[in-house]
Amino acid sequence: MRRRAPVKAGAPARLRPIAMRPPTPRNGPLPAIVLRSAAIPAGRLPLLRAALLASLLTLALAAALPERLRAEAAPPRITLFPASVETGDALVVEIDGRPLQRAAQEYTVSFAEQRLALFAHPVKGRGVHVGLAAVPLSAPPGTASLTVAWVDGGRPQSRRIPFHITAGAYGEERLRVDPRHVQPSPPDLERIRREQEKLKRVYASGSPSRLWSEGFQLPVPGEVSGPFGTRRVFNGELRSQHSGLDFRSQTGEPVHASGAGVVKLAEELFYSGNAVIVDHGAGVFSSYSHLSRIQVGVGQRVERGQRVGLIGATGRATGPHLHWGVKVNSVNVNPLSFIRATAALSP
Amino acid sequence: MKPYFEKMSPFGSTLPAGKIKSGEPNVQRIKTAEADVDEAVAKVKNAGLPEKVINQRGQLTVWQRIAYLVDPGTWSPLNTLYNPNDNVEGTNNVCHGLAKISGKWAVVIGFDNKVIAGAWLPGQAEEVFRATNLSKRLNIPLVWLVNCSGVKLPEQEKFYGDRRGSGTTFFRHAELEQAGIPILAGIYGTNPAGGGYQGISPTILFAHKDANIAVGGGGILSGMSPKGFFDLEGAEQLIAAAKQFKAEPPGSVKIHHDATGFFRYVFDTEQGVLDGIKDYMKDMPAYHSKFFRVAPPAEPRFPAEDIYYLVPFNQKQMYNFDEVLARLVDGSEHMEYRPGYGPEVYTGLVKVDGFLLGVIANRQGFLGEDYPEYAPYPGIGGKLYRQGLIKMNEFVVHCGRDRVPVVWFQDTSGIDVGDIAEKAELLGLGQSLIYSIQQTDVPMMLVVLRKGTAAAHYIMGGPTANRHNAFTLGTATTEIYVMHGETAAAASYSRRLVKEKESGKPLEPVIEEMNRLVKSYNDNSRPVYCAQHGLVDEVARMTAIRDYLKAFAGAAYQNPRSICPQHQMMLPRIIKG
Ligand SMILES: [Zn+2]
Repeated sequence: MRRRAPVKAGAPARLRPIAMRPPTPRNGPLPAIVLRSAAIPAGRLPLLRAALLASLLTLALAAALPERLRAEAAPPRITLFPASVETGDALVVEIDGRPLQRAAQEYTVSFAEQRLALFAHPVKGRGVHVGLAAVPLSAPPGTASLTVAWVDGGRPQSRRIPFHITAGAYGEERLRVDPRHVQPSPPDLERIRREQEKLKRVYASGSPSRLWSEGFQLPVPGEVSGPFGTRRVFNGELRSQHSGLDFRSQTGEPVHASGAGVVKLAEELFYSGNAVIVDHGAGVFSSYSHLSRIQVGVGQRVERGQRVGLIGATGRATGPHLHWGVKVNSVNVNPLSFIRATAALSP
Repeated sequence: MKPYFEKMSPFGSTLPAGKIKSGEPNVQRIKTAEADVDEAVAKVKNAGLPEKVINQRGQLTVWQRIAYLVDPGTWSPLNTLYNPNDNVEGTNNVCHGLAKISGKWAVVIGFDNKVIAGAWLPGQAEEVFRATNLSKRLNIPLVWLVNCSGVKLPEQEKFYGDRRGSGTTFFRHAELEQAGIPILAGIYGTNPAGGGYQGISPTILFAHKDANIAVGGGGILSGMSPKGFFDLEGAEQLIAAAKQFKAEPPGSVKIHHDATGFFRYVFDTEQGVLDGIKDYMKDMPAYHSKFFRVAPPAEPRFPAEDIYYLVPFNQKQMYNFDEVLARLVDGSEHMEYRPGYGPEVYTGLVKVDGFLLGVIANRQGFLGEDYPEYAPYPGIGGKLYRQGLIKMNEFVVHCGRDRVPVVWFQDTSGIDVGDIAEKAELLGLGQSLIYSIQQTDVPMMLVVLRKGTAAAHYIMGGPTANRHNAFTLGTATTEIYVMHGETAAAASYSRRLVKEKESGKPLEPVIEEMNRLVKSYNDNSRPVYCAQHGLVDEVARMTAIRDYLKAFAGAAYQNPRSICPQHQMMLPRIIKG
């Protein structure tokens, strides 16, 4: 079992830079991050000292500001958050091209096989674009990079933004079972194959634009009983890794959409039982499985918090619970990391 | 004393409708953070072999044993996430908490038999000390569920030796027994060497029929090689010896029940052992609750769910602590001590489950231009000033005299600093509060509601008060650090910024380092980190804080070592005037 190194203050792996920028000439435009760090809350410091420090920083910044902004040559400022990512985490990329107002289509952002759908930053306004990436459970820990490409004055430009991936700490479920119980019957196998193809089509049919506005929330108030990423080892062989989060709950408790979107699937599946899949746009889907009852239909628009069905134990479930999954660019991510990553984008 | 206690002053108010609407994002952020904690807890509970496999072997898991043993609804887990060495097993391999058994509070602790048959692992001894300390502080029985295969040999160097190594537990057990605190032990499975002492050191031993305890296990007996190394011949001998001991490990029931009588009782079933403990718990020393209750128990008048709306997740936003407290205490009633003095601090008497508790807490928000009275600058809640420190000192001393257990709530950015504050004696008053706490000898509990910062985290009943703080509770909004990350970055780098600036060097690299420091403070102060490293003893849901208050109050009043007759208490009279 792979484990994250002990977390110590100052451990290099945790101290990767928050924002990566191309080197800026001394008189060039200041990166956004500088301005952010100047916002030291006065309430946290003895007032006099706070005032002193704040003015010190302001002075330093003012002196460093260029006399005129050579905006046309300014590369966009690219920020990734969270700064430290684990396998299975969602990652937000922010591209700040201001003062230029390049359109989202002018950028191409890619990470591994993922091509990110960009949308306007809900809070920061024109010229700032956001995209979501997923770090797969299978991603090798270490340095990875995301590529941003655009065209400046007819010349193609690109930047590789390196970031660090640490291995998530996932538990393991080792089971010895009669192989006959692991292997579905031929008709079941055929059904599973058909359903997998359908799911592939569903996940490829997402809206390129963002359908949510108010961020995401937990679908049920229940207690998390099945962590994301748990490795399931049957007879010594790694069969799967838990693709979502399980919530313990009672049959019949309501399940709510974690964000606004459009229902893309609402039917019974072999493994997932009664399942609902919601497309949130910009590469994001959420799914709700093992429901005792489905209460939405395909094509229906749902709002955040709207009821989509009731808790149950349908499909391959040992007891009543909700399996909640989130996919970003067709990759399973830890739904909690997704909520955290997108929280900052809420107005 | 009925007029004082039965009906105290009601406080708090219904959540305004506007707050319910605008507070929804805050609720979601706290609940998501609670789900993070949940997920970490689920990983600990799922560590090792699946429940199914253990049950197929005819055994119960430690969690099933605990569930069967304790009175429903009373289990208050502690240090579930504590795993400071980040063991590959995902746990330190013991779990403990406060619970009632047969109506009486006890500290319950058990080995996780799903993980290497309950081996000693790094970090485990510290959790055991916390459990024994809790028993001692609250003067309540310790109940062990022993199932310990001994040292995890490849990592023995991390916990076998040392002053606070795993063997220290046996002296702690002796210390509890010396103090008159009984230790009941249910014993399961094979418990050689360290496991043998885990089994023998308690007061009364309830064994399962297949259990054994021994000075050394089969592995040790057969593993002594006279040559100092192993060869083929040695390996063959080892195989023969191992086969024999596997068939019959030393120290079985035949020896330790029939011959030595160390096992007082032997049971045929796993549940039988627990039934035996339950039966014994009925006779453990405890006052009836009516002896100490000052009023019949009552629920707060406002729902605990409101706390999600009241406590801002954003640490820079303010809130009204009194409204939070009104959601935690019986009838939402209190007797506030010196309300007009030291406004940054709440001090008062409350009832929880009918028992009297003292509460000390930070208040938030702007304190007015005229406060603190010794300085030209205005005061801000969360910080401590002269009056607040004096008030806390007084209140703690009175609680000590009246034998009232104290609950602290921290959300503090520290003590006022600078020469004006020094002249106002804040350093001396802070240490005075430490002395005041030390001389009370009443049990205390801490809730780090949001920030635990600077020396204020120590002096406000922090876990540093080793002999008084029974346990420290965190919440999804808890952050613990010496100072805020941004403050730390400013303090550490301001000079370098000036220097770089003066020598005409770019500032960006320094700024990047500053942001890295902020980020690392942020990562290492979060609730899950705090719980894994023992800075808090558990992270509770907002709606579970009251359950822990009830467990604390009930346990603290179960069998206190000293008593102040209600009609001789001074605090209620001082408050009334
Ligand atoms: Zn699941």
